[in-house]
Amino acid sequence: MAGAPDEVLSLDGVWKRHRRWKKRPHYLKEALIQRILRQKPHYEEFWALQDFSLSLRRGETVGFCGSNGAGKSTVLKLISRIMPATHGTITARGRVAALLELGAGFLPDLTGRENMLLNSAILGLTNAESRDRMPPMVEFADLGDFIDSPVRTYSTGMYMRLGFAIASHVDAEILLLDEVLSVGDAAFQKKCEDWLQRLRWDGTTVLVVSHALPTLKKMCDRVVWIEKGRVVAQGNPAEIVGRYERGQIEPGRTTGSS
Amino acid sequence: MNDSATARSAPRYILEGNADTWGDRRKLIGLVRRLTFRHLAARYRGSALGFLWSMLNPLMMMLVYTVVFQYVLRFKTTEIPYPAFFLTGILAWNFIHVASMNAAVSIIDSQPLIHQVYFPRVALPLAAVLSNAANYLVSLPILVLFNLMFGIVPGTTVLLLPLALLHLLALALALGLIFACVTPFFRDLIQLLELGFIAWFFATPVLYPISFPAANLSAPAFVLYRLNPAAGTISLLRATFLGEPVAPGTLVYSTVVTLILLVLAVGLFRRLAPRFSSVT
Repeated sequence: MAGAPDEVLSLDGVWKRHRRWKKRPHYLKEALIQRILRQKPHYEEFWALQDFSLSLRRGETVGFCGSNGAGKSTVLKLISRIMPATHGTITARGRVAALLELGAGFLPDLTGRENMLLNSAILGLTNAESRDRMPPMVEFADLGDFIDSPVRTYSTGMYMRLGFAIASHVDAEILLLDEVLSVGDAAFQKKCEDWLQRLRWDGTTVLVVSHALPTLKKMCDRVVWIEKGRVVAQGNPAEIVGRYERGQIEPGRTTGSS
Repeated sequence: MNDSATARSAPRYILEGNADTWGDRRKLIGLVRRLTFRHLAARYRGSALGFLWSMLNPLMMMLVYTVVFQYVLRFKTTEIPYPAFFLTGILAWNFIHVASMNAAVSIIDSQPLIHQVYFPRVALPLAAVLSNAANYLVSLPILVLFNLMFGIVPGTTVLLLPLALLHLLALALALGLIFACVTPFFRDLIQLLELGFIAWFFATPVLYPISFPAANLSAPAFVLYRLNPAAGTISLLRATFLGEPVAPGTLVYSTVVTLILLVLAVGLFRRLAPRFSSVT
């Protein structure tokens, strides 16, 4: 697939094989016993993604919808390099920052501020850059005294505030958001929406996974419907979300729940 | 399992053009620095007490072994006073032990990061080893002072120091990387490794000089003994600080083994690192 000039991210024929473990040996002795007793491996393999292709343009906001286990989060994990694909090519023309599920990569014993510094280093900021961005990050998170408490004492909403504050200040070209927009109070949600709007104008490409369909309809330029690791349909948000909702309700058309 | 894939390319992840302007290498250096400082800050917590605490263990061991070997067993080791002889070895041994075991748990301890963000995974064991290396460096002036108390003035052999330190670091790094990438898969390996360290301690010339096994083991057994990479490292450090002669053969054996271990470690780590995010 020849990339368009303003294409920032492409997935070409990507396959991902997962193992579903029944009883994973976590200890050497368990593994040895399984080997000695010649037990079959306690897992079955399945394709989480099958020949998955996708192309994103600069400044585009794209949403993923689909049932649980359809492969939405797997796509984000492959794009963010947390996991390698089994086959296929992923091309990124820009820095990728991800806010995946809850936690967003914090070490529970570090304070909010320490986690900010650590995450800035992980996302590639130099020491000087991290120092410059600390004050605006702290201000955006608006956590008060909690910024100097270990993050294990944080509530879900506070986790997300911290995650958003970091992701919004590292100048990523591609931003991945997995089920994070629905947490936080109304005021903070508004703040995040404003911020996402500004990012779009600046040309940041945003990829959102959400089960909150109205949010997808409102904020996305395009919605991709994924089932069983394949793209079912993509295009106009209202149309795709509508088809997805009907598919969810009509029995027999629902697929891939696990 | 659906196996209908026809065109199966090997997986590739391409970061194009000036995409990642900061670059992976620069990112790695910045990250290792940040993590190393974090370890050191956690250990010292704003006071020198943390450092004194870390010196307490080797000094205590030195006291115990000196009493046992010199007064109970009436061992005659070398011309060098036993406390100085023992402290030089135990500081290096503790560095190898603690650094590689800290590295061994570094991936497991950072599971939340591994599952949620990408970064060069090698930064974790690297920082674990480097923060202990910093600790070891700080203990060296104390070692020299201590030796002076026993009338041992460092001679020209001190010039060997860079080589000895490099040898020590390479060994700790090789072990640390190997341990770090296997422990996430089998948690009980950590206990096994600790057991291994106990056996290894007695197979390494820390308590006794390398002239003991040289005199008591048969020639082939002594070759085997010298394949222990720590034997050469510690002999080299004793040569550096105490002027104890070191056999070139010992150095060659342990250097070759250390380098082989390092190459194996890097290869193994690269192979296993992509799988860290799928073990829980």
